[in-house]
Amino acid sequence: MDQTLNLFSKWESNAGKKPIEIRKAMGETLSHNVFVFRTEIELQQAVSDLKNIQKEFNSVHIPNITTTENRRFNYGLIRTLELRNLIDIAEVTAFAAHWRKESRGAHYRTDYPSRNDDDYLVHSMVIRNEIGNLEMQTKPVKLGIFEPKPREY
Amino acid sequence: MIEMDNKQKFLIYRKKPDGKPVYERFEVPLTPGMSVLEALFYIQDHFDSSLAFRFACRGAICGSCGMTIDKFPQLACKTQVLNAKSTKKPPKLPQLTFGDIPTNWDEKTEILIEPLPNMNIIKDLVVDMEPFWEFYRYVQPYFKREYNDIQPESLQSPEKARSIEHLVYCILCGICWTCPVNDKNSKYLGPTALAKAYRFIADSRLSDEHRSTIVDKVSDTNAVPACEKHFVCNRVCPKNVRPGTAIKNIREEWLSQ
Ligand code: SF4
Ligand code: FES
Repeated sequence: MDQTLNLFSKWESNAGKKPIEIRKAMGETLSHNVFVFRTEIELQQAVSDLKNIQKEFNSVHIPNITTTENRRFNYGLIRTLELRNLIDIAEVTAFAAHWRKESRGAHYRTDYPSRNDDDYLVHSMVIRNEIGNLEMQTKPVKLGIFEPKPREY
Repeated sequence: MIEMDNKQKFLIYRKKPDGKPVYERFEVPLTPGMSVLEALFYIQDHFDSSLAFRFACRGAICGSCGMTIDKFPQLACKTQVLNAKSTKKPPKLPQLTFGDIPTNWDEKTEILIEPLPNMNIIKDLVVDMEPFWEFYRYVQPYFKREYNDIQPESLQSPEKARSIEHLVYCILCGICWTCPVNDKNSKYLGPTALAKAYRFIADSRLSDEHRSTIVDKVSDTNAVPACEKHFVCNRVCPKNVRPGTAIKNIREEWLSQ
């Protein structure tokens, strides 16, 4: 609880951008660079854009959120909390898409159009390390009784 | 987002949880196809992050965004800003008063936004729906089967299903509480709960025992007999549920004895 209240007073005293500007920037890099057909250059761009967006969010400004009265039904605040989570997920998505140099399922890369089971038949698990950077860890996939093969229609 | 040249003025009812109502003006740049809900988002994003209104689906299916737009209760997401002034209002709506509208309200050009009528206002456009849900739960609008009780299946012919289909489309928005009876009798179950009750009474799959429980509940003084046949509910409902007709049907088919 204390942590949350500290966060709110930080957001209130911050002098940075409004949540809407940051949300727009996030949406723009995602729809330009992490869309249906993906490429190395664009994904790199998205990863670096989202790093900056994280930084900007760190100084996000939203007024009047430090009293209980002002927080009641404060959807502006709720949508800012949602934005914080959205940026985390966006960063993880772009990071993992950039790491996975192959195409698999809905992840389609025009520069690597085929599946690569030798290198990427693994669960990808993105974590944030102590200094705040994203890192990739992997875990083997339990295949069960089915042999993996390309899905072709 | 493409911004068009024109702007739209809104006059919005504001109220802090313990404060007095006031009206505030905002001017929103229009985008093509902008709904009133989008305009409210614009205001929340750019002018006042504390502006409170409910929403979820943005597509007229969740029933969260009911509010009074130019004295006519509607769904904010289903109302286009550009058409708000020109759309014909249903006839004979009751007078709805929420606070002292500034005398300089330009009715021709400024869109007036107020909360839903006949409910207590929590903050700005957010109303207390608890009585609404209480009455809804009270009529037991569900089938009393357990999740693991799978045989025999409850079959229903397409004709029977179609006969109650329009009632099934109710999204529980509370707009039909515009009813003048809701205004004067806070115990009145209201058009929503009664329409839901009829949706189940008229459902061929309901057990006789459950049906008679519901009929009992809606025979009460504060239920079907309290309806004064204004049919405001039929006229304001955004989903054409016709709750008033459902109430009439309960009266004729089940309460005549
Ligand atoms: S009957 Fe119509 S107005 Fe009433 S709650 Fe259902 S959808 Fe809304
Ligand atoms: S936001 Fe769901 S009905 Fe309007």
